[in-house]
Amino acid sequence: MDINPAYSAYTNLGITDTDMKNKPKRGMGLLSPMGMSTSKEEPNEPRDRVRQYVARIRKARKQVTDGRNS
Amino acid sequence: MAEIPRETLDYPIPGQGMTAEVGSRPWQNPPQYTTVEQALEFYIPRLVSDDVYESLLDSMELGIPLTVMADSMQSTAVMQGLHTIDVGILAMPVIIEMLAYIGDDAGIEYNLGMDKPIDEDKISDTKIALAMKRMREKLPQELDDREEMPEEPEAMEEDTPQPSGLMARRV
Repeated sequence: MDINPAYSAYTNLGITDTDMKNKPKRGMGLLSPMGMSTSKEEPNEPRDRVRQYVARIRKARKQVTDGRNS
Repeated sequence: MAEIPRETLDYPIPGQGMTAEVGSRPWQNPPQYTTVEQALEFYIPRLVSDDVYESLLDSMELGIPLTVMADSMQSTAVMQGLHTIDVGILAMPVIIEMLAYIGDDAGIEYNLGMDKPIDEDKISDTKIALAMKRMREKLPQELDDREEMPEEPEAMEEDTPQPSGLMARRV
């Protein structure tokens, strides 16, 4: 079956709504369970970075369309 | 008299495409942009540049799917030796999303090219037909027996006369 590779590349990213939401801010307290242990590394794999870029643009796109509809 | 078509000799010789010197084609040289970010830095300013922007909007209004546009863009860049196919495949979702953003920003109804989403809950007709065929192959005898079984004569009961006497049992 002839499938456009762009279609496959786009759908296989598997971006969900949770990717587009802002992550909750971590607790800043000394006793915060997420304070020190979590790593602050950005995703290093190209596919993860692309997923991040697409999520950001999609979020901006949503803001444009929401602003027009309201 | 009918004209006999002459066999043309203009066709390329089989294997001719491999006769060019190695390195003489753009895609045989090291790519100009080696990472996704470098490729996107090439694409995104071009997408919003004045000369490309208008033609992009025209293409969107004509109904050309964004996936097709993104695919043709990256294929052309691969042929020009700007980046590899791998980088092109990785960059395509960002290009599609950027095209969609441009379309939304301009207020144009575009075709994303995702008209046929794969619905996992829906079973295709071909799968149903295949399953039916397998069922028939597995249970041929049983189906044949069912087809050959004669129907019970229901009409006979209706035709039998009911006893009408005072002492007759009523069914």
